[in-house]
Order: sequence, then structure tokens, then C-alpha cells
Amino acid sequence: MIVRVLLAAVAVIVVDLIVRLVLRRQAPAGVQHDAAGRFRWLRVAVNVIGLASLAVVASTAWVANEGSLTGDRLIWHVGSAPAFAIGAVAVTLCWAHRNQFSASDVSRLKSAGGRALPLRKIFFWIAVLLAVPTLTSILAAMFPFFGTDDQQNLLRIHRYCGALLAAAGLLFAYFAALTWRNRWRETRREGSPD
Amino acid sequence: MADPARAGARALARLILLGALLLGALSIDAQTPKPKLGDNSSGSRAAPAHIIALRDLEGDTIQPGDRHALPFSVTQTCGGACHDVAAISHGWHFNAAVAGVPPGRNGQPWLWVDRETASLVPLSYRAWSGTYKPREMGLSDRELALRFGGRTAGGFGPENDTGARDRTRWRTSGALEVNCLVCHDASPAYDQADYASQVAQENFRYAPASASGLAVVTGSVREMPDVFDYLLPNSLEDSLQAKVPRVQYAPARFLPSGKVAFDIVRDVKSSRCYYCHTDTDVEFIGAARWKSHLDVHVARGIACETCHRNGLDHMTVRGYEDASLSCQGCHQKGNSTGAPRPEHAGIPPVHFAKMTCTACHSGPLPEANTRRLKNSMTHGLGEFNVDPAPDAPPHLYYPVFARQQDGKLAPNRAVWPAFWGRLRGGQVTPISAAEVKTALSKGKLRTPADPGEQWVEQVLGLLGQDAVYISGGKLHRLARGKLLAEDHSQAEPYLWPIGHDVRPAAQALGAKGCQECHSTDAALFFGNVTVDSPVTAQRTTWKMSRFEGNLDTDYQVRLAGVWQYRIWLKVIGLTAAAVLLLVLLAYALKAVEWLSAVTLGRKR
Repeated sequence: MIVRVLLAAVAVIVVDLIVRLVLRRQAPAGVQHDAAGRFRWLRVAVNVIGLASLAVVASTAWVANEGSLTGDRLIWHVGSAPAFAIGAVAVTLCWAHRNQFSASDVSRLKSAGGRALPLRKIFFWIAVLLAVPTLTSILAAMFPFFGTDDQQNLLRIHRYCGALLAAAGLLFAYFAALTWRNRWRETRREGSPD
Repeated sequence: MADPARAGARALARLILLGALLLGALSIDAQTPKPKLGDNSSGSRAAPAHIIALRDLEGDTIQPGDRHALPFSVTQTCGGACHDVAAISHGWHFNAAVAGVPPGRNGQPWLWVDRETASLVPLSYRAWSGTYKPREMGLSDRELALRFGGRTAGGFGPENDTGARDRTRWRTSGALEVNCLVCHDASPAYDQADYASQVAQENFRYAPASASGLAVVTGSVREMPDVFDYLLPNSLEDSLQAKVPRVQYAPARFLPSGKVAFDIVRDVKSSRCYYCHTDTDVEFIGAARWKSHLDVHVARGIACETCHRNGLDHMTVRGYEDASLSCQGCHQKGNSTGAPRPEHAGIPPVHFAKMTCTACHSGPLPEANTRRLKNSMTHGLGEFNVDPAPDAPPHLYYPVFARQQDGKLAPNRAVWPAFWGRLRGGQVTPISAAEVKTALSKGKLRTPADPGEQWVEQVLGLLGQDAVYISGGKLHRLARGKLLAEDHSQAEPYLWPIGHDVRPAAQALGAKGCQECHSTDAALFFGNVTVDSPVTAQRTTWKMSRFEGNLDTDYQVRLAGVWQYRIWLKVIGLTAAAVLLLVLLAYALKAVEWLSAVTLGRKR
């Protein structure tokens, strides 16, 4: 299941890239400009750490045939989990404000070239929403509150939400990169002599 | 008109057909054995009275006034008309030597100890890995019966012994027949220690009568010449008469009918099982016995036979994990017994895939060093003149956590084999004690009280080129006059799983926290297992992890290292989840506010 979800996310990205390459669409006008701001490098660092910790946590969670996560991969997974948790909070705080939905998002979704921004917002909020059960389910299993059957359900919740979170995180990162690229191109166009 | 000849032929054919049908029906009836009186329960839960006549081996009734009283035969007395002893005698307690019986998982072996040859060999007729067939050590069935039969329910006979001496002595002693009374006679007069004593005297025929308390048996077949005939005890010369086995029944035990009232029970008392199946920690022997703990089931009034049940075939349930009357059978699956279903709150399910129930709940908790235990079948606990010393040999160690065939970790008892053998094709074939003793005698070599490695070298020299000595977990052999110690699978200890004593959840391994096992010095992985040997210099310790398959100890150390920071994982994770929830809540509230504004027609 985890493999399918992540492959689906990668497939979405690949299809989108192919469509863009074939159509060579220009970035639409009217993309919001983010001021570089005073915390630009902090935000970059947060994004890099957040993405890296997501990559480590997701890649170490890869369990074939619904088996148990054991061995060194478990240590890496558990060891990178606090970094991921902190990274997830930091990324959320950095992006939440910018990812508020607006009335124009619906129209952007309809335009082929401008849908990156609303999609970024959608996948951001999906990722934040999934991060909560992903974290709480596995943490709850560490306390002596739940018996074997409940533990297995908690592990399932952790596993499925984690897989969807990884996919949503990947798609968010992709669409965030696209919006950056669009903005960068636009900035270059605006700054060019013609 | 009909032809009279043809009519006659037809009538004859009909008669033949009828006869054939009748014979067929009779043969079918003969092939289907009818259950005997005592094996065909009406369903009553009441205990049937066992007021029965004692019968000798020939099936003749024994009366208290008989001039030459004969020992009663359990097979005839119980099996004559009431119980199918032939079917019963294929049960687990009797079928070790029967061909085609599946061995089941490793169980308690007979431990054959010989100080003179510094040998300790686990013996079993069953194909348990790490045991040897008695015959491999030069022991006949008769010798095995003499040595260990007192701690059995009988079932030894001359069938498999081919040696002339053994066949002669079997005729003298008679078979040690299946003894139903060992388990089912609840009379306080029944004395299994007396049974063992009679067996040791070679009084095989007399042992049940003597143990039952119905008779006093004097004399000893061991003292009798080969020509002794128990039916003609007076035929022997006068000098032997005092030692001739004789039976004197207690007249008071006979009813006016000439029958005897046995206190036979279907539900065997646990105390009777314990005669052969006691395992006791050496710490709780003697005056400290009162400090020992009971199995939680026994403490709550559950008897051995509640779980270890059997039908007429006496294939007693051994409690394997997949059995209905096992830990899982009662506590997990259908749970028809009403046994409490364990919560195992907070224990990751992966533990149940990697460990047996017994790993956490049975035997003593793992400690820095393995403990020692004694048991009935090895040390003859409960018998007369037993050495009660805690360090009486042979030495058994527990708990040793080892990987089972199914990959799960389980606690075991362990005994270290020590014997002489010949190494051929990588396999060690034991040398019989008689052959070793002959070599010692020829070489005029005596066995010191504390044999050293020099003595081992000398014996190996006497036994020849391919001779080896297995002890202390190693194979020892001479190479260019020097003693070499090498690893060999046959030098590994014989392990058999611990099922009892079961500890409740509050006393289970891990009840004090994950660190009981997930720490850098956890006894479960890093405890010391004592390696024993008759040769003092070869005694050492092995780490528990050596028995745990391909256990990566470095990984266990790394995992234990990570464990210290688990609390931080919890704190960070929960805080992060709380912050994320707050963010979600904050923007959800904004969304609600926007929705409210939209519904009022105000643009935002």
C-alpha cells in the first residue's frame, strides 16, 4: 500500500513534468510575489531540513509485505522521527500563512499553468492533517494504554497515514518548487531590459 | 414343472450366499473392537467404584489366603475386562521406543552419568536432537529399566533386547509392565518411591503390588540366579531362600467378596505428576523450600491434567503453541475455558512474532548468570536415599533463551554432554562406557576425583587415533600430541523448553519496563550461560546471545542506546502533534469565519 501511494505521488509529478515539457507553458500572470523577507534563509533551511527528515523517515519505513520494521532501519526511523517532528512543525509554521486558501484559488485550479499554487496549498494541508494521526498513533502505542489488537490498529493507522503523508509531502514539495520556479521566471522577466 | 436338480442347485447357491454374507458380517464385527466396560463411559461425571479382583499375570484371581501368593498384574487386573491396556500403552508415557511415533519437540531426556568415564549423556528413544539412543551407549532396554524405570509408568519389556544376558534376566525378572496405578491410584498408601526401590531391586513383577500398599514384598530378583522361577520360589537352594522375592498381602485390604477397593481416579492429582515431573531451583531445596513460588495456574487451583488431558489413547496434550490446551488455546483463540485474555498493553506486537509466551512468563527471570535446577527424572527426587545436596550431579542450568525451529525465542533447560566418541565424517559416534573402561583398565589409568586435561589426553591416547572427548561445549582431540578444543554441534548443550512455572503478568519479563530487555546489559541477551564439564579447566561461560540464532548483539546494544532517548521521542512527538493540531485548529477557525462571512454575502 505504501509503495502504491508513493508511486502514485511520483507518477503525478512525472505526468505533470511531461505535460509541462510538451506544452512548454509559461507561468501565468498574477502569481503572488512573496517578499524575500528577513527570514528567507531560515525558511530555506527549514524547508531543506523538513524535506530531508521526511525523506529519511519515509525511506526507512519501507517494509515489504506489511512486515515488521526491525533492525537498523528501525533505529534510523526512530532516530530521525524527532527531527521529522520538529521539521514538520517548523515547515507548517513557515508555510501555513502562505498556504491559506483564497477565492482566486478555484480559478487558478482551472488554468493549466496556474494550478501549481492551489495544489501546493491542498497538499500542504493534507500533509499537516495526516501528520497528526501519524505522530499520535505511534506515540500512543508507546504507552501502556492499548492492548495487542489496538496496538495493531495503531500501527496500521501509523503506517497508512505515514504513507499518505509521505506522498502528500512529496507533492507539496514538488508544487512548492514549481511555484518558486514560476515566481523566479517572472522576476527575471520583470527585471529584464525588454 | 421345475427341474428338481436345478431347484436343488439354486437352493444350494442361496445357502452358500447366505453363509458368505453371514461370515462377512461376522468378520466386520470382529474387526471393529468393542470398547471395554471401563472405556465406554455413559457420560456420568461420578467416579466409578473400582471394587475389583486382583489378578496375577495368568489372569487368575488372587485371594488373601493363597498359600503362595503371587504379585498381582496391573495389566490383568485393570485390563482383563475393563480397560484396553494395549491402546493405552501406546500413549506418550509408554511409546518412546515404539517405531513411527513422532518425537514431538525436545523433552526431558534420561541423563546417563558415569563418574569413572567422566561421562554425561542425554538419552532418549525419541529422535530429539542432541540425545542419543540408549543402545548407542551400550545400554539395553533392561538396563535402562533398571536405572530409570522407577521414575516411569512402566512399559519396558524384552521385545527389543537381543543380548543373551538380557533375555535371560528378562525371564527372571519379568517385564516392567504398564502400571496404571502410578497415575490413577489416589490411595494415600500408594508409594511410588517404593515402586522405584523395587525396580532397582529388579523386582519388576512385584513393583506395582508393593507400591500399592496392598502387599509387602520382600527379597530381590537382583540376588536371584538366572534360573529363578517366580512360580516355584522354593525350588532354589536354602541359602538363597531369605532373598527370594515374596508377596504378603494385607488381609484387611480385602473385602468379604475377596475383592479389593481401589481409589482410582480419572482426574490425576498434580502431586502424583510431580513425582516424575518436578523441576526445582537449587535455591529452594531443603529448608528454603517454603520460599519457592507455584505456577500461577496451580496456585489458582488448576491441576496438571486440566490442560494435559488425554483420551483412551493416552496421547496426553503436550501444550505446544498450536494445541487447543496451550497458552494461546486458552488465553487467545476461542477462549472457551474462560481464561483471561491478556491485554499486553504497550507491548509492540512484534514481540509476539519473535518470542514464545513462555519467554516472558515461564521459569525464572533471566539473570546475569544462569541458575541451577534439579529434577525428578534426573536426580530421583522423592526416592529413598537421594542426595539432597544442591550441587549433586548432574548439573542442569536454566533459563537459557534459545531460538526455536519456528524462529521464536524460548526459555530452555540445558545440560552439557560429556562423552568419548569417534570422529568419522564430521560425526561423533559415542564409545560405550564398557569400551572406555576396558581401555582405562588396559592402560592402568585411574580416573581422578577431579579429572584434568592431562587425563583427557591420556585417555584419548588409549582410545586411538580418531577418538574425541566431548565436554564443556567443545570437541577435544589430540593433534600431534596436543589437546585441541574445537566447536562441534554435538558438543552444544542439550536444550529442552521450559513450560512452567508460569508467572502472571505482574511478574512477567518486561513488567518492570522495556529496559529489562532493551538495555546494554540485559540478561536476556548478554547474560552468562554456565558451561559445565567434568574437567574443571573446561568450565567457562557463554553469552546468552550465542543461543539466540543469528542475533546481532551490536544491534541490540545500538537499540538499547536509542532506548535511553525514547522519552525525548515521546515528548518531542507529542509536542509537535499538539502544535500541528493548534495550527490546524487556528486555520480551521479562520476557514469557519470565512465560510460564515460568505454565507452572509460579505466578501473577504
